[in-house]
Amino acid sequence: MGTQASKKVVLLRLLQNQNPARLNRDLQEFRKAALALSSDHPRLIDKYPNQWVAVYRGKVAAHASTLNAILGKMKRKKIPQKHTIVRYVEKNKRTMILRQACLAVGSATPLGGRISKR
Amino acid sequence: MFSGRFGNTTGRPYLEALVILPRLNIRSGVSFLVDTGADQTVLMPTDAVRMGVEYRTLASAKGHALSGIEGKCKSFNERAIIVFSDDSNAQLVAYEIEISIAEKKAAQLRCASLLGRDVLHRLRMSYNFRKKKIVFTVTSADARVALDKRRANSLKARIEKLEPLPQ
Repeated sequence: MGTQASKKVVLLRLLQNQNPARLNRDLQEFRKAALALSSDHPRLIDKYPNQWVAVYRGKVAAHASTLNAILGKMKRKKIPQKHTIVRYVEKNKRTMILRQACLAVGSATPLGGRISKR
Repeated sequence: MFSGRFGNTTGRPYLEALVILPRLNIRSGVSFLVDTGADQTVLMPTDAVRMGVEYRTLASAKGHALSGIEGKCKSFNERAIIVFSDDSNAQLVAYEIEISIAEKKAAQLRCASLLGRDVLHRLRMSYNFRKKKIVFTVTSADARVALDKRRANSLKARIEKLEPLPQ
């Protein structure tokens, strides 16, 4: 068996061990949470400006001013972190742009890169 | 075929995926910012911390400097499997990649994880912001797992028949 083929078998085995139906369920649940955050976002800006929010099963399950605080709250409330989307609700939208795209000779690291403007 | 979403206020394109980190035995959903300007897929600290990644376990992992978001930062490479749900074909699509886990630096804490070209090159993207539609079609994948029972069972049987791999 070639390296490529054996790599594929290892990957397929890993996925089978994780139970594909369960993986799909987890992913769908997470997608639902993400969609809820997307559609609720204008209201979240009014309600939780400059705060971290955790969205679980389509609802804001916790909010706090720091990432550690929100993770602590989630732990206390026993909210599964794997299925929860955590985002910082920024009142002032940051503009993200790519500053430079040139590559250094012999290096895979771009010079400059993305910066954000307030 | 599967869909992404646009952030309501930012208009940024996002795509949800499951990220499996086999070495760390971690599996979690991640909402990725679709970034054709990113050379590699990056897991930002917000997601890494939430997923339960212990940064001290990454210290030994091979890392490199990431240039970009708000300057430069260190990152750690980790073998990862990115899984998408291809709803139209009732299958899971998986990509085995080296994901960059950005260091836990305050400046990066508010950024979304990035879905880079290492994955995007294997998908076809239809981007229509006016209709708020972002749709991905799979052009190639490292593994595809059927979700319908009959196809899944036949694949399982085929895998079990294969001889064990040398260590």
